[in-house]
Amino acid sequence: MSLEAFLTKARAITASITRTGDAQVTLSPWRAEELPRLIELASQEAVPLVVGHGKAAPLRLDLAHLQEVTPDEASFVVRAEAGISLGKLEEKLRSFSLTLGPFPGEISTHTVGGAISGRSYRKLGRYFSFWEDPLLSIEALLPDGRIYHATPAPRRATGPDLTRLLAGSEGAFGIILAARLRVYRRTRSAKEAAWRFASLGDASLAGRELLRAGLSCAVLFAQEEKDSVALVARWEGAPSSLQEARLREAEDMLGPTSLDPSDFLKKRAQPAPSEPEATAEVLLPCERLGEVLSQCQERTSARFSMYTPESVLLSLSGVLPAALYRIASEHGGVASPASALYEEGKEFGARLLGAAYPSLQAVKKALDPLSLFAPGALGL
Amino acid sequence: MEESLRSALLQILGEDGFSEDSEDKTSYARDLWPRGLILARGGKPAELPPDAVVWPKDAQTLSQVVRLCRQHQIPFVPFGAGSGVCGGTLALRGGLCIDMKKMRRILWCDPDKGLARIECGINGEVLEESLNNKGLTLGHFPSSIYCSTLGGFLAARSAGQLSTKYGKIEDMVVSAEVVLPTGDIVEVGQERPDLLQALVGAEGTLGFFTQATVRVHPLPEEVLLRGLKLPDVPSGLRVIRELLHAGIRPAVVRLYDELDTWIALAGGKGHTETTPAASGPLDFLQKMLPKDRLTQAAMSFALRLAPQAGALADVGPKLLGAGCLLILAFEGKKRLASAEEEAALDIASRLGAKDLGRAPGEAWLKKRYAVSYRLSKVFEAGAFADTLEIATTWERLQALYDTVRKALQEEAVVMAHFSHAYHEGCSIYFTFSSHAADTERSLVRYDRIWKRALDAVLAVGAASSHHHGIGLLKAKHLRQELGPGGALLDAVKAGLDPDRLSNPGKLGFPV
Repeated sequence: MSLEAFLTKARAITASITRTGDAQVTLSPWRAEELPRLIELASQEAVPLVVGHGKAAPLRLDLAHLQEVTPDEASFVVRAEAGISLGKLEEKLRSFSLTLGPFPGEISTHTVGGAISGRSYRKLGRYFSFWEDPLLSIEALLPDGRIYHATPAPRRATGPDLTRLLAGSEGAFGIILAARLRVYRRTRSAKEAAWRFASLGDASLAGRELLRAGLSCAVLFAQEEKDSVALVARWEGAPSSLQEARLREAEDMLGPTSLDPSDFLKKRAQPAPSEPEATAEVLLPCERLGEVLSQCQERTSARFSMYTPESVLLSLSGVLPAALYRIASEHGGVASPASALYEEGKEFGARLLGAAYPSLQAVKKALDPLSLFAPGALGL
Repeated sequence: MEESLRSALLQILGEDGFSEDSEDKTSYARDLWPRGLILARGGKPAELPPDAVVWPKDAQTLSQVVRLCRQHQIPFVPFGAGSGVCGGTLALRGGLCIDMKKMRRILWCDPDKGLARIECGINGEVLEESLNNKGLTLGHFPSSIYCSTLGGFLAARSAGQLSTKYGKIEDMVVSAEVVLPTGDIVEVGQERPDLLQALVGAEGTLGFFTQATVRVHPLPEEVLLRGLKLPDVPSGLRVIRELLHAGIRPAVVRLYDELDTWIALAGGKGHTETTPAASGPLDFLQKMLPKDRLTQAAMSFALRLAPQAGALADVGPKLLGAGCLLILAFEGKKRLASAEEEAALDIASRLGAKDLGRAPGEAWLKKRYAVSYRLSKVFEAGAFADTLEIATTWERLQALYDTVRKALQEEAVVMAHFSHAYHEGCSIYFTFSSHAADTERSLVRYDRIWKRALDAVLAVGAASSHHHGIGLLKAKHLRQELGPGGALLDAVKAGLDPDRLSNPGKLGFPV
């Protein structure tokens, strides 16, 4: 590897390159088109690269300048470049009367690229059907230096889903440069409800019943309080009569709404504090939630959001991630598919990725034989 | 076949799990690709037979077979029910055809969890009936349901007629057991990167599905069908888009273009606007195909005009004021289905739709599987027919319809309907029919029509398949559509099938 040789040649191609350490160079392109030649050069000089801050590699890619936003108002889709944060994207969409949907404040600072490569985009709202993924297609820089533009179609049968393969690869298979995300009409019309339960386990089974009854919500989560649990639901975006019908159906199933949901919803929408309490997140089958929590008594807070009708994303504070992953795996759970693994991935790659790990290692080797892209990501 | 391989296979599979009989090889030499039907009609039913057919009874047996194939460098091809329409199961290099249908049990079904674990060789209709007996449904109703398997659904990324509500098969599968081309047996689901979604739609090139956990739903309390009339395609698309953007999720959304509507509503005797005559263009053609030789000859002559008749067939129904028929269905809990229907009708009427009541939807439901079985009569009459299903965003949909229709009707009569509608866009399903003097000229015309159509799809930037898959038919265009993404696809293949033995030549992989 020759970082100096890379730096010298790269400066002839772009001015967006600076030395940021003895053994690190940062590339901050203004346009995605600058990248292919630079990646080709990095490959020639065998210089590994990562995206984002706080990671160690000789070449760091900072996509902060890539912030273009282009709504497609006919299709209710927005093309957003990787460097813009979800919070800023939501602000820009406001002027078009569009929205990404209510998402937890903890991901508002995640960039589009980071949210997709780490899969936190999976926490964006699923207004009307739990299976309607917010991500339509991506544009990604591949290790061979070319940019792949996935066809923006709502659904397809054109072989393996390469978008889903790249999403969540934390840079190992490709670097997200832009994405098309689903958006909704911004509306004030909404119905909210909240119910009290004795435990998060009971609340998760209730959430399961709601989703299986076809009552998909923009928001459906539960929060552990001092001596009870609140299950909170919000429906928005549909005609009032339909939202009213959905609320009535939910109340027939769970009883009248017994709590004021507004404080819970406001708290959920708040951005994460500057020094957030460390949390660990796992995906669990609804019926196993109680057993897992019984082994996590040291937790300082607990909440879940419904992920699919059969599973929840459980988030705990005060519990070590490694410990929670171990407990979860004993109960049919896995490390959250909506959070990046980062350092945990390096250490737990084989365990977290399961029996498919050797297959994914083989794909990585075929795609990026020099392991230049995000070396060590996911333990691959 | 080498004797050592034969002996080893017989030892693993037993006598009833292995065949080199010519009848079996001929049977498994094709799927329902219309190009293959043209060849069969021309006396060439089995141009690419496998060397043998095998029937493994479980994943472990299949794994042993695959490892043996690796050892002997013999290619292998999966086979569900053989109803694919793109040549996906053709054994381009011979080798083994692996019929998955001995694996067909429902292993467990949990109504509370809403999940079921099923062996992938199960027939689609058998699966649905079994679930119905438990008060459940998969919600997956492809028109091939009688002659397809769960494994085939997963291999092709299939869609059912209720996909707007329940999703496509890739939205229904939670996890799966797969035998990889290395012979390894893995369980995939919920990883990141998402290996499950990389294997779904891989058409047997990256591994074979042996078991899958899928979501199941309570049978609906209420099913409400409706027909609406719109003046033209753009009006109909506007209604569908507005319904979906308003958060309504009809179980069924089907908008027929003018020719398709004219045939559906007025193509036979004694039928009115509210009682569709036929379930589609092929049904119409079949009804019209007569029994006596004189009118049969007249029909053949008419079909010969198909290459020239395309534009006329397009204009005629518009001049006759056919309009466009929109079928909607709502199902689920009583209160919710009614509320959705009411909200939908309110939106549709504000956008100019005329309510035709329940009859058109109910008539469609009765005949919804019938149309595909009329195909052979068109071939018997000396013509050929095929279907093209593509998808794009709402913004590009009208341009896609106009461009592809124009490309097809240069040499064919073309009908289309829009179905599988989503928040961001929709699929278009074209049916086209044409004719040529003999087998060779039919093949030339057939290939030319497809090339023209797929070139048009690429030009608009749409997906070249929504649910039929790629097979051989669209492999070249897939690579053009993927562009640099082809390198990613090739890397996945190199990683999972280093010997390149699994269904060679499909998805544009080398033969």
